Amino acid sequence: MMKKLFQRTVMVCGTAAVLMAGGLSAAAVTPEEVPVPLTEAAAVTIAEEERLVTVSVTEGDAGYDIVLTDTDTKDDSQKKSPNWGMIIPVSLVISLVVTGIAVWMIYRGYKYNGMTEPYEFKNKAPLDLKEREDDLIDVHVTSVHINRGNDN
Amino acid sequence: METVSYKCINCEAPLQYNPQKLKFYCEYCRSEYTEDQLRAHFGSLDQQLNQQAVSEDVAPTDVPEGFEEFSSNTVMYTCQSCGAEVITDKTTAATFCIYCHNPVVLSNRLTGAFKPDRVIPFQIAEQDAQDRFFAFCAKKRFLPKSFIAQAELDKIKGVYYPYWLVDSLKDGCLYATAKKIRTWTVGDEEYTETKTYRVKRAGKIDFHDFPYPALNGEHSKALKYVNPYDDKDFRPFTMAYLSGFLAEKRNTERTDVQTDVDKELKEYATRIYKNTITDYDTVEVNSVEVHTLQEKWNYALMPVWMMNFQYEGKDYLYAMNGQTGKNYGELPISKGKLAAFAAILFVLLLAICMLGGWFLS
Repeated sequence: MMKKLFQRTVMVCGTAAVLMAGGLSAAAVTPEEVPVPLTEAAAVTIAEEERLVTVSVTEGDAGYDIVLTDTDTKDDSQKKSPNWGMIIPVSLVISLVVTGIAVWMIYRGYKYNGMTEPYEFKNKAPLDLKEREDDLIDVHVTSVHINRGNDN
Repeated sequence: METVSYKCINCEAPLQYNPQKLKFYCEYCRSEYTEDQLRAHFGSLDQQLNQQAVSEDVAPTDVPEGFEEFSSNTVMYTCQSCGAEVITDKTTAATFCIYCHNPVVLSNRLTGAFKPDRVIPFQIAEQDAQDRFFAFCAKKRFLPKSFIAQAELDKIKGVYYPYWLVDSLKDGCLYATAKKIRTWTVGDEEYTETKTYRVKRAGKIDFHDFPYPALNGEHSKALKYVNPYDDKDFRPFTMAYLSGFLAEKRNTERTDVQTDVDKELKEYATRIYKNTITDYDTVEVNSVEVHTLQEKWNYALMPVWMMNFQYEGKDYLYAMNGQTGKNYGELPISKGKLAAFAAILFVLLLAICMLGGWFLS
């Protein structure tokens, strides 16, 4: 009975593992990009349908570049893929630094546990303030030009 | 070496101080005595010993041959209960006979110039100290599992440690440069105005009961950070409180620690003056002058629960304030748990950062 149960469990797990591996492999394969034969007429159709953007199509090196321009703000933005070459190293550095700081703080907390103020000076050392002077000796003003972004 | 062993008035068995009941009790006939009852019975003995003003260095004339190499640091006494000869180190003021476990106070160590002015009796019993320690450990997720085992905690001991308590009236002043920074915008220009002030604060600071460990040695840091104690439990010193605990006598004179005490009090004075400089964005202290108008040094014994552990061949010392329960000490850390935590945190952060980067790009 136990042997049978074990065999079935192994079978289910094996199947699941194969399916997962297959799924992951399929997801990892990037389909070959085929340039879309978008014409000027198609761009106009999209613009009419959406009523939000105007579409201009130009022939690029590896196909067509699609530029979307917001009809209200006149802002145009080119669709880009994430810059993983930058994101991965920055993420690695940030994660490493934050993890290092967290580990160091934990280690210090264990090494110097309870190192707090040994003398309650606020209660046990009253101050009788006799003299209090605050003399203005210098005023200095600096200015910085703000570079505002061009909306056009 | 003269010793005092506080015996039960009823059955003459050794008496011990019970921190929970704040009374002295006999574990044989279960009699309990208040401080006043004991003082009425043993008070004359305390006074007699105090009047002797015994010199600091008790000559170890009673050290037998073969112990010469230890003679500068050890003294021998004879247990009044079983007659055994027991050796203690030079600073021990109260201990137990290692043979019959009879509590013994080495009275010569606590008389004359070495008689403490005050004492805070233990408020936390041994079992309570252990419970608090294990409750504290339970919250520490990176402690090794084996460390928390009850068997590891076999070296807990209640010790009265010597402290200098300094009352010092200081007069002084602090000079500083402080800045106020204001920022505003007009059109495309951002303006920053920096006003610089010369600041002076002068006045008297009355330091009250500043504690400084009077025992030089490896435990001095632990003794510093188990503070603060609460003044409300200070009592005039009587040796009876030491019965059932260990006690150390001071091995420093006022002149030995005066410089360090002055340095620490100056640091506190700087903070106290600086705390009165408010409403500024930055404060930079230029100089502080402090001088002493009056000073009084008291000598007191304070209760500390000391716990010794060994983990992976390293000795760990943990100290707990015997009055308030405040902890200080180094704890071992499980490298495996810490590594696992670091790995999980790293992966999580990496995933979050990469997702953030993906959304923002």
